[in-house]
Amino acid sequence: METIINTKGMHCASCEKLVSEELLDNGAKEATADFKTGKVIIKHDKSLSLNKIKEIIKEEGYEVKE
Amino acid sequence: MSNRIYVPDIECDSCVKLITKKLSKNNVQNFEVKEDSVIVTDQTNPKTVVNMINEMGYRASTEPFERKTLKERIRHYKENKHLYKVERTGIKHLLSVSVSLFALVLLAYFFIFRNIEGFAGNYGWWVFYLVISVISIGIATWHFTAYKAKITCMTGMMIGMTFGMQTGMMLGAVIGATNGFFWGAMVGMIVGTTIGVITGKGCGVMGVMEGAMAGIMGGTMGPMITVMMFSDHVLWFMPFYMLINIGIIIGLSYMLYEEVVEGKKVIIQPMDGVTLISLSIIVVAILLALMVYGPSSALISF
Repeated sequence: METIINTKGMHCASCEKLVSEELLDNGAKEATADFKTGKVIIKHDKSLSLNKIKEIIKEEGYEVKE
Repeated sequence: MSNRIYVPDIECDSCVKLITKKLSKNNVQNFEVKEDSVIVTDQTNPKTVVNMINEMGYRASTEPFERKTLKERIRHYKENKHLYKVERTGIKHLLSVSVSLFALVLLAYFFIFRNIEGFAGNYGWWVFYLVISVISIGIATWHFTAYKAKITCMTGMMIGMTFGMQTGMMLGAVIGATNGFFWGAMVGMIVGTTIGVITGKGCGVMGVMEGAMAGIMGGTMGPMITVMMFSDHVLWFMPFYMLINIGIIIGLSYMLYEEVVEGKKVIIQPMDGVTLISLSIIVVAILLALMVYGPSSALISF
């Protein structure tokens, strides 16, 4: 399944890479972050829940817009 | 044992976190990521760490990064011409755009403007400065857009600001001289802001803001300068003004190569010469028509 999360606080290519790598390390199949729009697009299965995704993004220091 | 790896592109917490993660994953156990370097205090070969950091797109070396002097740069160019392929193509485009634009202006003069009384005396130098401005801004923009690379916020802001400012200053000054402050400011501000935003967006909203602000500043300052000098040696002032502005643009392209291209992973996707020449001709034709058929400033007298 594909989940799109709107975030706040990413400001450069390193932020994008940090978020996407962390999601991939935690079981996402694909993860693309865009600091210009704040969107993070994640392809994942049920083993990676929406709450866990949000938690990972928050742990990296970014805000998740509800 | 302690080894310092110089990483000049570290610019924020995310860079620090990324490098920390990469080294930890690759079993580098004792290290510290600082603001411009990584100190490794275990037995890992420093070259291995350099390669790991390079793989992430950051410059890294066991030797400090030093900027080349002009002499060193010229020698480097002569010995490594293959590394300056885009720049050499840029010089060819500079010549072809110049020939095309001056040919366009000459044709326009002989077929359209020659019958306008006092055209050469009133507009001659200003048309020349218009063409010079479009050539220098056009080629510098082409050079910048030829590279798709990761740009740090600091460099991106500098690029957006310089492009926005110089475009506004140069075009605004020329149109301000022939059409008055209002039209000079409108053209300088609109074109300056557009170029500033296009070039600044490589580093996100900071570059966009910087480019837009510089476009407004340069676009209004350029015509202000020429209008204020109408009765005070404006034609003597202009060669110096243009030379300094062109010098800044050349410096910007030099900085771009040094900060964005050299030693980094970049994708080269230059705009083709025909598109560049066509865009330059369109811009000059529009501004030339505005100069001649738009409202005249106090400097233009028939």
